[in-house]
Amino acid sequence: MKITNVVNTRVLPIDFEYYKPKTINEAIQLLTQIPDSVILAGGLDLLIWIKMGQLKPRALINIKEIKELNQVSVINDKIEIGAAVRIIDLEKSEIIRKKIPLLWKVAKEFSSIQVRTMTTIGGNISSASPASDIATALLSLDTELEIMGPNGIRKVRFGDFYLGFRKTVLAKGEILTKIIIKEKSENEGFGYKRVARIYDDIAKVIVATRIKLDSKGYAEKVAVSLGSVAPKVVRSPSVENYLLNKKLNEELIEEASYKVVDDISPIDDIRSTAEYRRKVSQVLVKRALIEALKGVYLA
Amino acid sequence: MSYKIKFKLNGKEIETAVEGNTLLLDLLREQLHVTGVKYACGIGECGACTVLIDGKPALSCLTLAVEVDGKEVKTVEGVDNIFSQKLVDEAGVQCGYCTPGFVMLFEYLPKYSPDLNMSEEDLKKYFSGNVCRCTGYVNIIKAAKLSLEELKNKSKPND
Repeated sequence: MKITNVVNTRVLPIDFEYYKPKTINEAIQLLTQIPDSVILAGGLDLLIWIKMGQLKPRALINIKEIKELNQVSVINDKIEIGAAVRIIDLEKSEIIRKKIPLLWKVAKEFSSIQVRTMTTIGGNISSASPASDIATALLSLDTELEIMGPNGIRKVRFGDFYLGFRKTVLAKGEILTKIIIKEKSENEGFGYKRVARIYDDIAKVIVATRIKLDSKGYAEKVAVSLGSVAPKVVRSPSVENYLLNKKLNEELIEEASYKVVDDISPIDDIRSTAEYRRKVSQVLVKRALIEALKGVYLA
Repeated sequence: MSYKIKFKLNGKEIETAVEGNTLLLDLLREQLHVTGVKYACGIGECGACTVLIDGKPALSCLTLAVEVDGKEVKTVEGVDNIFSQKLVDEAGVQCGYCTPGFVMLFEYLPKYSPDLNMSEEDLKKYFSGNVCRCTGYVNIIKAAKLSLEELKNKSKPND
């Protein structure tokens, strides 16, 4: 009997060089100069990919301890989060809790304690997994990314960051350095719902929502984003446009939620089926929008 | 590639050389014979390999050995917490393979939740990254609850 596709999660099957630069510029230089070099952050995706033989890098560049990448700062109405900030630090941050409650909620419920202390926000979103709870939330917020590379600094809207499954706009030598998010404003509410086999599993469907009402109570802004239902995290313009500029109530939200299937392309995989995902997406969109609407009135 | 590293393991200075691809788990178990740390899933789902690095829980099966250079690593061999005893008292140990991981995560609890106010539900969530395949969770959570109560009583000022 021939056994194929045996993977051994006990060891890293290939050797590589290891670097720990002290500054972002040093890291960019190493990334540019060494062919097949990759960034090591939390390592939870990277090291598993190497174990599985999906990636054979020549060098790992550890950026976790670069000081500028570990800071959270408030600049006017924006919060700048360094790419190496850990999920557990977001959960413990008063700034995040008060100013970006949606991200705080996702951080608090993210996987296990061990995974939260290791995972970095930049690593999680750069892995470009469509099943990222963090990325799903960031897509509903006003999020911008700062990227540094051999040609200097550039900024990218979060909605333009992903090209597809596991693909981002990051070019060779470029590092995601900051996640910049606009703070919560008045009359704004958020929702976050997910379905998974058990509580800290990777989700079958993730939904994040945001509603902003104007002074007369009409929906001035509606954002609905979903994870695990397409090659990348996606927004649902069909649901959003249906609700925009209307006075929202539960009946209207339910009507709108059926439209989400026009914007998603789920597949059958080990976690769920396309059919189930389509059905559940509608239910979660409804619940997450109702949660967001209630959040506006509570605030 | 070989790298020289220097770190503290359970309070003791260690100086050794590791390959770039040596996992912390293997440095501890195979090179230093600290076998309390266990390998089980290798992909960050079970928590059996949990250690503390500079006081924070980390999965040693997904940490490079070279990364702990200059840091302080704690394994179950260097820990003597109340939870270990309660696990014995409450029969929270069956095959014992997952036990070191649970003990190491409990070691971090006072830092994670300094007021020690955790309900049974909170404790279940707190330990969600530690898998016990004997499914002895009831007694493990009971032992954790009793340990918390005792810690709380200890931290109360005497009147």
